[in-house]
Amino acid sequence: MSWLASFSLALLAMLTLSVAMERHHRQVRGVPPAPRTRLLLRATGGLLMPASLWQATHAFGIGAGLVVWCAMLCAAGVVVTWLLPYRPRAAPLLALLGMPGAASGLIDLMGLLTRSPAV
Amino acid sequence: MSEETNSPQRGFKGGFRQSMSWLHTWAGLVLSVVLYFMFVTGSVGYFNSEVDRWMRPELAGSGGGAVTQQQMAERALARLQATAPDAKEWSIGLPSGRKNPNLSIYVQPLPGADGKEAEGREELLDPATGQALAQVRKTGGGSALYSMHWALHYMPYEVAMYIVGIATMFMLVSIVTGVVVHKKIFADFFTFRPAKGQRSWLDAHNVASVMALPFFLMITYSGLVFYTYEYMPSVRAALYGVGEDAGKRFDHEADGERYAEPEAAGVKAPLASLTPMLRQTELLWGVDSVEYISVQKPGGANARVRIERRQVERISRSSDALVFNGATGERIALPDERTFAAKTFSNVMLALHEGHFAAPVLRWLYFASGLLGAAMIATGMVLWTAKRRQRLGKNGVADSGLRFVERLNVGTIVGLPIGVAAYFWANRLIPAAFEGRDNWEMHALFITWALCFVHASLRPAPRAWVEQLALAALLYALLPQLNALTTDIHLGRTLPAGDWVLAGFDLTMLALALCFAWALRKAMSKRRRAQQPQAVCLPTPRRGGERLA
Repeated sequence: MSWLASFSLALLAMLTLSVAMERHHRQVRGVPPAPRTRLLLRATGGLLMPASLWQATHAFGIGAGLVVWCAMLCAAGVVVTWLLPYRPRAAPLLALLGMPGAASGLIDLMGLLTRSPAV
Repeated sequence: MSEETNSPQRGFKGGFRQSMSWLHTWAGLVLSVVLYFMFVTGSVGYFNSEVDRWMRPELAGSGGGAVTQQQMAERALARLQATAPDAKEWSIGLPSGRKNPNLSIYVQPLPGADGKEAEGREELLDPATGQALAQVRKTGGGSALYSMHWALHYMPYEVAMYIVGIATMFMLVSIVTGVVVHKKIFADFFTFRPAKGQRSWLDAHNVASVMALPFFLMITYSGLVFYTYEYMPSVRAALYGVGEDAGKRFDHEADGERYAEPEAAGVKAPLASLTPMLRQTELLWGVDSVEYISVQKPGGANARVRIERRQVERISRSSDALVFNGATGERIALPDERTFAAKTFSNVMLALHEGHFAAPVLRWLYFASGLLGAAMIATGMVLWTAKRRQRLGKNGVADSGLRFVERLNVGTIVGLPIGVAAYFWANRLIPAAFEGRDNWEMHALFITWALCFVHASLRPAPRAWVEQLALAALLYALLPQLNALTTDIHLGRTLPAGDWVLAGFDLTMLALALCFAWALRKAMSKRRRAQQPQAVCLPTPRRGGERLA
């Protein structure tokens, strides 16, 4: 499950960051992003990036977690780069598919925050 | 890589980035064949034990079952005592995890009269009886493919080491200069524009390189770390001098006495039982935690038994070990392993490179990253020719250099996978009892690969691509069928049994066949378009991706 969470988080991070770019937003929606959408997408991607790093290091330890994080970002990046020219309309679907895994990872991290108060 | 602006008036005015672009292009091209070979065989190496198992179908059913590690160790020891009572060193590999799935023994004989090291001998044993598994076919397996990525083949180890080192250095230079010359590393991060000739190759090259950049930097740099002392001998020579003694002194200081060899005693003594020693390790490390036992100077009063713990899943190459007096069975207390920053760093680097710590998902990602590296080199090679073709235009005549590289590309990029497929085919087709069959499997790889170069040099390049891609797709697609005809570890059995190691091999071959079939389709349509020049002007079918222009 941790693996799926890592990949989903990396995928969502890569997907939002790519769609925040004008060229790729055009591919998916046909128009450039509205300034507010763009900001929202960037902020989401910018938050998902460290979240995925945190999740990976939490689930696999600092050392292996860093390796897993790099590997997952690479895999997610390749998937997104393939998707954009060939199946751009499927981007929202892919994001949807990534939600449960990402949510489980985030819930884990939330639990971590509430369970262990800062010592 | 940037679009080269090589127009004469820019010439040397391009400055830093321009000269880096030149360096990137040529450093990448010159040793691309060696580098591609290293990335392909090295990637296979992440599954060396799994490939080993597929290539020794006779082993499929001989798992340890209910036999304990102590029983296996004693049985292996009995076999060693019976077959090689006098030896320099014995080792026993105990089944433990993916790295070491079989019970094996290894004998390092005493040096010959001339003082030269004799060649060692390995044997696989049946854990239940301790007898040699004689009917297992001799094969280099996946491990031979794996070791080729640093030791190459058909040449002395030292020569290979330097070729590989120079190639790795070129790779590192190509990676760093590649980052420098990539003008739009962030703007083009996710950009792939298909069906645009040179543009598409550049996009593919950029994406493959950038996505796995941390992996490429790590794998290339750590590859050099493996041979630090060999590649930079003067550092050690300055402090310790040269010669064998200096090397020994250095090792001694670096590792303490942990690996020091015992002096020959001259007095004979029987070896103490291994079982009590293994009980001690079990208390410390838990059940089934031993990977490797070595006995130095067996049969002498100074014999030393070293029991190594199975590498736990952490990113370091150092391992735990207990050392015992072989005659008395008493544990020898050794000073703790010395740790210092440089050693820790190198341990972590080597462990990252080898990826022994990687659980299955991460292992697949390692494998995929390695293949992405092969793809990076391959796209770079094609880009070199595509760029020059584009510059020539429709009616230009290619010079001999361009034609040479075009053929070299086909023979390398598709020829090597065909050779690897031939290696697997040979494993199933050469009779199991054939003398020297393991060597012939290797010959099959290299003869086939050489034939691919010959074929590529005789055909027009676009045609050579199509024909070799077709052959590769066919060879990989039929491999599971061949496996089903010659063994009983085919998908029809391994899938229902849930044996994912063996089934995974066959399924991976089918997946590779699909990749080659896809590439074949692309190459065929490209060739058709090239034959009908008017078709080039037709607009490509509208798809999402085309709107971005």
